[in-house]
Amino acid sequence: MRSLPVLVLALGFIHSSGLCEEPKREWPFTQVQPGQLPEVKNSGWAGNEIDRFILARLESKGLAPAEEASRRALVRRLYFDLIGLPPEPAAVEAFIVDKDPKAYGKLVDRLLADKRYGERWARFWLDLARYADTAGYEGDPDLPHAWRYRDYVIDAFNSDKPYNLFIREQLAGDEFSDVMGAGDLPGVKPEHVVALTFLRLAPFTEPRGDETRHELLSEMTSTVSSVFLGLTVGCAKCHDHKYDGIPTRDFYRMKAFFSTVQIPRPEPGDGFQIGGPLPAGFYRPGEKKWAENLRSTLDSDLKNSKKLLGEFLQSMKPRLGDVGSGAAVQAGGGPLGNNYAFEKRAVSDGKPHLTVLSSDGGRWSFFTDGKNTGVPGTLSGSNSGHWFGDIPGPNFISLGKHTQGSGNPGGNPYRGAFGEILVYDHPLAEGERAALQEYYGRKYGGKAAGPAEPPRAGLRYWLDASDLDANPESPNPAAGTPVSAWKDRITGLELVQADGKLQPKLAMLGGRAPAVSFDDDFMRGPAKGASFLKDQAGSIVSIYGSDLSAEGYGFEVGGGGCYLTTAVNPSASGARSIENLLNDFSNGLFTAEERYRYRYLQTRDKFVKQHLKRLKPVAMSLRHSYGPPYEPGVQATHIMIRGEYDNPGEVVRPGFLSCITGDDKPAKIRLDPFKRWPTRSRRMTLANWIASSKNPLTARVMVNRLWHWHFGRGIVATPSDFGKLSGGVVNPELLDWLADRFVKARWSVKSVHRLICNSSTYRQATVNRDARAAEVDPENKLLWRFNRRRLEAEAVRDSVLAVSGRLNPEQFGLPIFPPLPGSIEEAVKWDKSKWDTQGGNEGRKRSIYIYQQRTLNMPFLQSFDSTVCDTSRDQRRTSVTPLQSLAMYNGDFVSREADFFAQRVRELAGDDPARRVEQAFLLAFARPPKPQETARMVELLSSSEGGAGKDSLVALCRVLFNTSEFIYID
Amino acid sequence: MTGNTASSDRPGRFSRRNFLSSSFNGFGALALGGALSSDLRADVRVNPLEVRLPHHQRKAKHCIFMFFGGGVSQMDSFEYKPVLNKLHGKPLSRIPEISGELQGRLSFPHATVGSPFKFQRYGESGKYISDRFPHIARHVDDIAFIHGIKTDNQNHGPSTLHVTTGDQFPGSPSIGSWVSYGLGSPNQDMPSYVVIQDPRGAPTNGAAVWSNGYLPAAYQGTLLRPKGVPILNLQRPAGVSATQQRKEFDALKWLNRKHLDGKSDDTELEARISAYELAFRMQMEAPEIVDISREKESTRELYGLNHGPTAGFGRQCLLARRLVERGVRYSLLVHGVQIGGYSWDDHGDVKGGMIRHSREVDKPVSGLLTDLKQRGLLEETLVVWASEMGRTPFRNGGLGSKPGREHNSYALCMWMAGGDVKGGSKAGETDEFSLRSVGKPIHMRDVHATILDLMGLEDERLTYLYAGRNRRLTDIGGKTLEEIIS
Repeated sequence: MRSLPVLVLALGFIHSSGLCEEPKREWPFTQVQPGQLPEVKNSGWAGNEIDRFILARLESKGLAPAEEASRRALVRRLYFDLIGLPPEPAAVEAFIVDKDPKAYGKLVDRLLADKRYGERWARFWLDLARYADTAGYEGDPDLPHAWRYRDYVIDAFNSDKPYNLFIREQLAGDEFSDVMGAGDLPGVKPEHVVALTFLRLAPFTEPRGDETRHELLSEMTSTVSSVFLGLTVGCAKCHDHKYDGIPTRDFYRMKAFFSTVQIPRPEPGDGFQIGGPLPAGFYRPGEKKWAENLRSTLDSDLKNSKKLLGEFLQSMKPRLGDVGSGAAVQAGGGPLGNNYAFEKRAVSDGKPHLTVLSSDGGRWSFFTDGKNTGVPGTLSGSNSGHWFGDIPGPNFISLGKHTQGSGNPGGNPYRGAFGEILVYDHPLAEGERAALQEYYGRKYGGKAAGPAEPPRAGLRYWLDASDLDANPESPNPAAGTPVSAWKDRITGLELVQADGKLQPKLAMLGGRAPAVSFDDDFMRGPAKGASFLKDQAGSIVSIYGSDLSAEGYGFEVGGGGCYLTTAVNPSASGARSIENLLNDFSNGLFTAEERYRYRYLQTRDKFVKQHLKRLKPVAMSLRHSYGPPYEPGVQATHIMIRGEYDNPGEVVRPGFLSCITGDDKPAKIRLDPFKRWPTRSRRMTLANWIASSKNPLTARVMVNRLWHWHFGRGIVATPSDFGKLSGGVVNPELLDWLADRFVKARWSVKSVHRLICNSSTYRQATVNRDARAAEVDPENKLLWRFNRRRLEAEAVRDSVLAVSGRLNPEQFGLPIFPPLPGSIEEAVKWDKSKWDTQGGNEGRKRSIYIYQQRTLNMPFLQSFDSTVCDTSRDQRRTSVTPLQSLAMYNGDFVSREADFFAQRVRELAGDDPARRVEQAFLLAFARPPKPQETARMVELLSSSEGGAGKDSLVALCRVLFNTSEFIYID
Repeated sequence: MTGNTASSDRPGRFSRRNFLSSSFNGFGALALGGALSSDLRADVRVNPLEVRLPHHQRKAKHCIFMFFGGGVSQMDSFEYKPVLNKLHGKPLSRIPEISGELQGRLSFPHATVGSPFKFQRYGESGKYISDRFPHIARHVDDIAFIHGIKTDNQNHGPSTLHVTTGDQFPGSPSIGSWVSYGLGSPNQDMPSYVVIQDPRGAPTNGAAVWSNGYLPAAYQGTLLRPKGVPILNLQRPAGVSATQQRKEFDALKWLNRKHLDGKSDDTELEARISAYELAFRMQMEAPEIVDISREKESTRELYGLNHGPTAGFGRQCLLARRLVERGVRYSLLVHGVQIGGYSWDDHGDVKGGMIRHSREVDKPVSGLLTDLKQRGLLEETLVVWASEMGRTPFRNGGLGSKPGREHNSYALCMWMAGGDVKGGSKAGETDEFSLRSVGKPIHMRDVHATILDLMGLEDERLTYLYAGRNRRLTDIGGKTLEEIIS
C-alpha cells in the first residue's frame, strides 16, 4: 500500500470521544490552521507564499525549481488555463513586448475578468455535478430544462460567487428566507430554484416506489459528500466504510437531511423518467428578451421549414440525373409508429408490374416482376415487420388515396391502374412466385403458356379487375365504365364508391387485361370477416401500373388511425432518391454542409417543439415537501441493511458525519417559530454546516480542486477522495494555508486562481535542467517543474474552432447539437430525431453548450476522454489511441475546419508560402516557426495537392491541427 | 483488500525508465509485457492495449458476447417446464414464499402460461431444448447452461446495464472494457473491443452498454458500423489520396519529433507519434474485416446470410468470427432493439414473438459455433449467450388473446461455449415453474466472475482504483461457477 501520511480516522475517536479530553484528530479532520510560512534559502525565487511552501519541500530534497517559462509559453498557458482558448497572435506579441513589470499580473486579472473564463471553469464543475441533458436508461428521455443549471454555474464562476453561497444555493436554494408569522411559504428566487437542479441530475429510470426514492436520496447523499467534503460516503450505504471512518449509520444520518425532498410530478404528456419542473422565471440580464426573440425565431422557423425543405430538395435534384421510382409498404399510426420499407426498382413508368411484398413477421421482402430487389429496402423508418395482424382494430379496406387509418381519403392521389390485389397468409415461396409470374405473363403479357389462375393455397383475398362482381358467370363491363363497386373473390367483401367525383374507371393494363384505373380516385369497403387480418405474416401481391410523379398509395387496411398500406414512390428507388442519398454518407454527391442542412430542415417540426419547451421559464428543480396536510410529513429514515431498500433497520435522525464532528448527535434543525413547516430547513442545516469556515474539509477540498485543475494534479491527488485511499497529501501545510486564505477572501474562487497563477511555482517551465529531479521525484509531486498537459476534449474542439476563425462566441442558452459524423446518429439511435443537427453557426458555440446525451457521447469528444456524466467525475484522463488520431485527421469536424483555417491564413498571408507557414504557426501555436520548420513546411506545401480543387495550404493546416504542440500546453 | 491493484486514476507523468520501448510497436503480439501488477499503470499510459499476461492459464483468448435484448423467455427456449402447460390459464398451483418484485407480481391476478413450443432432448447430455432452437440444439454437448441467475433490477434499463457492466447504475465499464484492460489486444491494428449492433437500432441504454466507464478511453467498445466504412473516421478526408496523406503524416511526424526535442522523458508524446502510425495502418487493415464478399457460398449459407430473417444476425455472427481470426479480443453482438417488435420483450404474444426472434438468431448462432469449431477457433473463443433478465411463467391480468410473459429478474438463463467451458454441463436450477432458482443461488456477479475466469482473469485481482474504491466488474466479488469449467 501507499506510504504517505496515513489518516487515522474516526472509528477510533468516535468510540473514545465520550471518555476524556478532546480526541486527537488527524489531518484533514483538524481545523484549518494557516501555520507558519516555512523558511527557504532561495527566498528571491519565492514570488508569493505558495512558493515558500513548494520551495521548502524542494530544498529539503536538494532540488531546485525549474526556470521560469518563456513569456510566450506563459501567455499561452494562461489563456488555455483560464479561458480554455488559444490567444490571438496580437495578444501574444503585445504581452511579449510589454515592459510593465506588472504585465503578467495584469494579464491574469484580465483573463479572470474575461466572460469566457466561466465557460471553461464551469465545465469542471459540471463534471462534478454529473450534469447531463437526458435522464439516461431506457429511452434516455430529454431533460428539457437542465441547461439552465449549466448557465447558472457559468454565471457563478464569472461573477466569482462566494463558494459558501454557491454551496448553499445548490443544496438548499429553496430554504433561504425565514418564515415568520402568518402567510404562505416565501417565494423562492428563480436563480435559487435553478441552482437546486444540482440535486436532481442523477440518471433516473422508471420510478418503482420506495426503491426509487431510496436510490435517489442515496445518490444525493453520496454525491454531496464527495463533491463538497471529498469523502466517499457512498461506500457506507451498504457496509461501514472499509478505510475511512464512516459507519453505515452515518450514511443514513446524512441521508436523513434529504428525507423531505419532493420532486414535482411530470407534466402532462411527459414521461415518468423526467419528473416535473418548478417555475423559475428567466432572471439573468437580457435572458427574458433573449427567450422571447428565440421563441419567435423558432416559430417562424417552423412555419418556413416545409417550404425551405422543398426548395432545398429541389435545388439538389440536378445532382441525381434521372429520377427512378420504387414500390413500398408503409405501416403507421398509434402503436405501430411510422415505418416504411422500400424496394429499389423503377416501377412508376406506366408499364404493368407484378410486385410481391412478403412479410415473414419480421422483415419485408420485395419481388418485382419475378426479381428479388435485394436486401429489404430501408429508405426511412425502421423497416418494421408490421402485418395486418398488428393493427389493433382493422375495420376498413381501401384502394387509392391514403387515409392514414381513418378510412377517409385525404392523402396523396394515386394515378395508375390496379389489375389485381391478392393477399396470402404466408410469405410466398419461390415456386409460388414463379407460378404467379407465369400467370401474370399469360394474362397481362400475352405469353402463350401459363396457368389460368394464381396459386390458391393460402389465398385470403383477391380483387380481380377481370371479374368486378366476383361472379365468373356475369360478364365484366366494358373499358371506360365507372367502377362503383369491386368485390373480392374470396370473401366477397366489397369496395364501393358512391361519389361520382371519386369513382375510378375500368381500363386495360398492358393493353390486354382489365384494370381499375385511378386518377385521384378512391374506394372503400368493410374489413369485417377478412381472415387475413389475424395473420402475423403473409404476402400482398399487386398487379398494377402507375404513372406517378409523387408518392401514391394503393391497398390500405386500417382502423382507428392505424394502417398498413402499399405505395409507389417515384423518388423512392434506392439509388435515385435525394433523401436517401443525402442520408447515405458513403457517396460523394453532397458536401457535409448540404447533408447537415438537409437533416436540419427535415427535422424542424420535432426539434422546434422541443426547443420551445426548453424555453419555458421553469427549472428541473426540487423543493421540500410542504408537510401535512398537503403532502407527506417528515418520513423516518431507517438504516437500510446492506443498502437494500426493503430491509429497514434502526431509525436515525439527521446528523453530520461523525468523522468530522467527533460525535453522532442529531443535528439541530431550526424550524420556523410556529413549527408550521416541519419539513423545512433540513437541507439548509446541512448546507450551512458544509459551507462553514469551521468545517475542516469544505475549503480544503475546493482549494485542492482548483489546484488540481491548474497543475493537473491535486495536493491530494484524488480530489473527491480525501480518505485513506487518496494516496495522501503531498503538502498539507500549503493546502491549509490556501484554504485559510480562501475562506478569508470570503470564499472567492478567483482569489485562489490569482494566488496560484501569480506564483513562481506556476510560472515554472515544463523542463527542469536538473536530471536528478526526475530521479528523486519521478511523478513531479513536489512540483520541480510545471506539468505539460493535454487539453481536455472540450478545449480541443474549441481551439480548433478558434483557430479556424469559426467559433461562435455567443454565450449561454439552449443546448447545441453540432453535426454528428457519418451515420453514427443512426447507429446509436433510440429515437433518431433526438439529436438536432446544427451545421450552421449555432452548432459552433463552445463545447460546454453541447447537448449531453447520456446514451451518446459525441465521438470526437469521447476520443479525447470526455464523458457524458452519469456519476460525479473529479478528473479527466488523457488517453492516446489510434482512434483519436483518426478522429483528428480524418474526421469530418477537423478536416472541415482545416479548410476554414486555410482560408483564414490565405486572407492574412497572401500567396507567399513562407508567410503562410508563419501565419499558420502564429495562429495555431502562438509562435512563429523556426527557419528549419518553415523550410520543411514550405516543402510540404509545394509537394502537396489540396485535393478536390483545394489549395495545398489545407494540407498544412490539417497537419498543424494534428500536432502535439497544438493540443499540449507547456 | 486487493493487493494487486492494477491501476488507479491518479494522474502523473512517467519517466523514460518506465517506458518499455518495445511496447508500442504495433503488429501482433510481439510485446509480451508484464502481467497485471502494481506498476501496470505506467504501461497502461504508454500503450493501453499492450498484451498482458493473464492471471492464470486458460484456453480462451477471445470472447464473443451475444446479448439478446428485452428478456429472453427461458421456458420457451432452454428450460423445459411441462407443469406450466398443465396449469395453463390457471394461477400457479403453489405460490412460493417470496419477497420483492415477484411477490408483487404474484399478488396481482395472474394466469400461468404454458409454453406453446415442443421440447425434445438433444445430444449425449440429453438437454431439453424447445423446437424454436433446432440449430442451436445440435450444439448442446458443447454448451454449458446457467439457470436461475439473479439480476439486480427488473427494469430493462438497469438490468441491461447490470448484465453488461456489472452495475445497474450507468457509469461503470462494460465486460469488454475490463477484459481489454486486463489482457490488452493481440492485434494492435484493430481496436481490442468491437461492438456489432443490430442493424435495426440500439439496445436499451445505447452506448452505455459498451461504455468504458471510468476506465481509460482506449478500452471503449468501438462500434463496427453496419454499412460503408466499418469504423468511424477510417476514411481519409475527401480528395486526399493515400500518397498525400503519407506526405502529411511524414510532415506531422517531423513536427512532433521536433516538438519532443528536450522532452524525451514524455512518454505520452512519444505514444502519440506511434498512435498516428497505428492509425495509418488501421485505415488499411480494418476495411477488410467487413468485406465478406470472399466468404464461400457454403459459409454464407451456414450463417443464414441468404435468407431474409437470418441475414441480419447472420452477418453479425460472421463478422464476429472474422474479428476473432484477426485477433480482436472481445466482440459484443447485440440483437434486439430496445422497444417494439424487435425486442425479446414479449409481454403479449410470447408465441409470435419467440417465433420471430428465434428464427432470426437460431441458425446464425449455430453457424457461428459450427464455423468456429471447424476452424479450430472454438477452443480459444468463449461464446456467451445473454439477455438482461428471464420472464415469468405467468401473465398478469389473465391470459388475454395472446398470452405473454412479464419480467423476471430471478431467473435469467444464459449459456456459454468454447474455451474451457465444460460441454453438456450446467450450473444452477430453477423451480418447477422457472420462477426462481432452487438450491445454490447464482447471482449475475458469479457469472461475471466465471467469464473473467474463463478468460484467464481473476475478478478480485482485476481492479481499478476509482473514487475511493478498488472497483471491479463483480463489485463485492463473485464466485466462479466451477461446475461448468472443464
